[in-house]
Order: sequence, then structure tokens, then C-alpha cells
Amino acid sequence: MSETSANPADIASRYIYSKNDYSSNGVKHSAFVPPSAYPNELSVCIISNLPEPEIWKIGAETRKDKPIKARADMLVSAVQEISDEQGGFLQVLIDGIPHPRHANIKNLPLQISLQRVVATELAKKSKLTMS
Amino acid sequence: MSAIPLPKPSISDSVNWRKAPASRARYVATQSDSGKVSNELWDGVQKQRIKTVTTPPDDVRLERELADIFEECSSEGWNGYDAKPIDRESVQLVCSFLEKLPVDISYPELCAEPNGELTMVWIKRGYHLVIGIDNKGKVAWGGTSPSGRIYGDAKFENEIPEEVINILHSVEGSR
Repeated sequence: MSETSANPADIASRYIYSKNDYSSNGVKHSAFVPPSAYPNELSVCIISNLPEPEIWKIGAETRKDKPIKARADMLVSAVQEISDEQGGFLQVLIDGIPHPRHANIKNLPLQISLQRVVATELAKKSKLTMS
Repeated sequence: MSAIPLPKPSISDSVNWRKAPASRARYVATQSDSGKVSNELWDGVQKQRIKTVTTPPDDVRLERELADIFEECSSEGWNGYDAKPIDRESVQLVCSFLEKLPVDISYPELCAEPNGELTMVWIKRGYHLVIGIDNKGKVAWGGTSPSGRIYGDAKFENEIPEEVINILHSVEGSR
């Protein structure tokens, strides 16, 4: 399936499966650091206009082996405002795999120090919702 | 760098902030010091000891955080997204970094990253700074400050790089 850019008015959510990635103060930066194996993308779900139970159901079905703990919601436009330090900006691209609403945040920097910058910015722009 | 085997979550063995960090020496005064110092000085030491006992020090909090991280982040894919298990050499290097932290810089919060690194986080005075050390001893910092993005890297060779100390002093407002 080809990728399409998410609508800036949409809400993207990153599901959180570890208590390492949030605290009583909100979402931690670590929720937005990509794994070494896929350093250029972060998996999210476009949750606009979905009822709450459906939002949680998608997250639970994506990782059946791990209980979902929380999620970090953010406006797509807020993500798209973040600079990649290469003259561009982050993108949110819907690929529809494994779920029709699945998307990836792309254009993440590869340098670890810059990944930490972007991760702190994403954490600041996101809202924590507990399951 | 050779791998240094750490015992499984025996935090008090691997994290010895109290043992002898010169910059945190206020925690290590003991009764055996009494023969070396005057009575007046000894009173001061005792007062400091009482203060340490009655106010739970940050190093106890750090030990708890590290124990939680070992419990939560020691298996493949702990975050649900292909995360690597927490790297014990990164943990040791962060502990060494913390031992050398000047006393006028507050202890950070600890947080594991999906790349296996242990990171230190300071959120203070408009700063949100993350510093991690990989298993090769590379210190990489990134975050935001009141004046914009801050990031960079340096080598950690038993001393905290000067550039990092300067950033931390800015975070604390102590310089």
C-alpha cells in the first residue's frame, strides 16, 4: 500500500506498553526514541473520530503479548512543525499496515543526540492518556 | 571496552554513590574520622550525618529508579517496539558519571531508551535535557532549552566532559 500524508488536523497516538515511558508528569521522551533496528520511524495510529474503546482495542490487538498501559496523543500538525535539522520537517505518513489507521512518523534524525532533541519535543507536545 | 559482568538487579552492589565519590563526600563521613578532626569539625560532621539520615537522599531515589528499570526493561522488546534490553555497561558508565557529578548539580531522573542506553533527564528552569552514555563511552546529549535546541556528543573517559558540566550548570542556574 502506498503512503499518504496524514491530515494536519488529525490526532496521532503512540501506544505505550511500558511504565518506563511515562510518569505522573506525562509522557517521557523515551516513548519517542525509535528502536535501533528502525531508526527513521515511529509507529502511531490516527485516532480522530474514533470512540475511546475502539482506540484502545487497536492498541491491544497490535501487541497481544503486552498489556497496553497508556497512550500519547498529539496533533499531526504539531508533529509536522518539528524540524529534522536537515532543512525539512517530520512527516506523518499513513501506510495502513497492519491496521488501516496505522501511520509512521518519518524523517527522524539518525544522530542519537538529535533523536533525543526530537523525542523531548514530541513528549512536550503530546498528552498522556492512561488505559 | 571489556564487558564487566554485573550481578542481576543487585543495585546496591552496582551503584555505590555513597561509597567514595569525592564530589559527594558529604555522605561518607564515619565515626572513624573522629581521630582526624577537631571536636568542632566533628560536630559539623555529626550534624551532616543527622541531616542525611533524616532527609532521604536522592541517591536512594536513584537506586529505586534503577531497580524499576532493570525489572521493566531487561527483555527484548520491553516497550512493545523492538527495544533492546537495558545495557549493563551503559548502566555502569552512567553510575560512574553520577559519582563524578559536582555537588551543585542535582541528581537527574533515570530513564531507559529503546536502544538499550540508560539516560539521565533534567527538567528544570525551562530546560529538558537528556544525557545518555552508550557502551563505548560516548556521551550524547539532546533536548530543549529556553533559547532553543541543545545537542552534542563527547567521550566520557573517567571525567565528565567540560562541555557537559557547563550545560548542567546552565540547567541549574549556577553559572
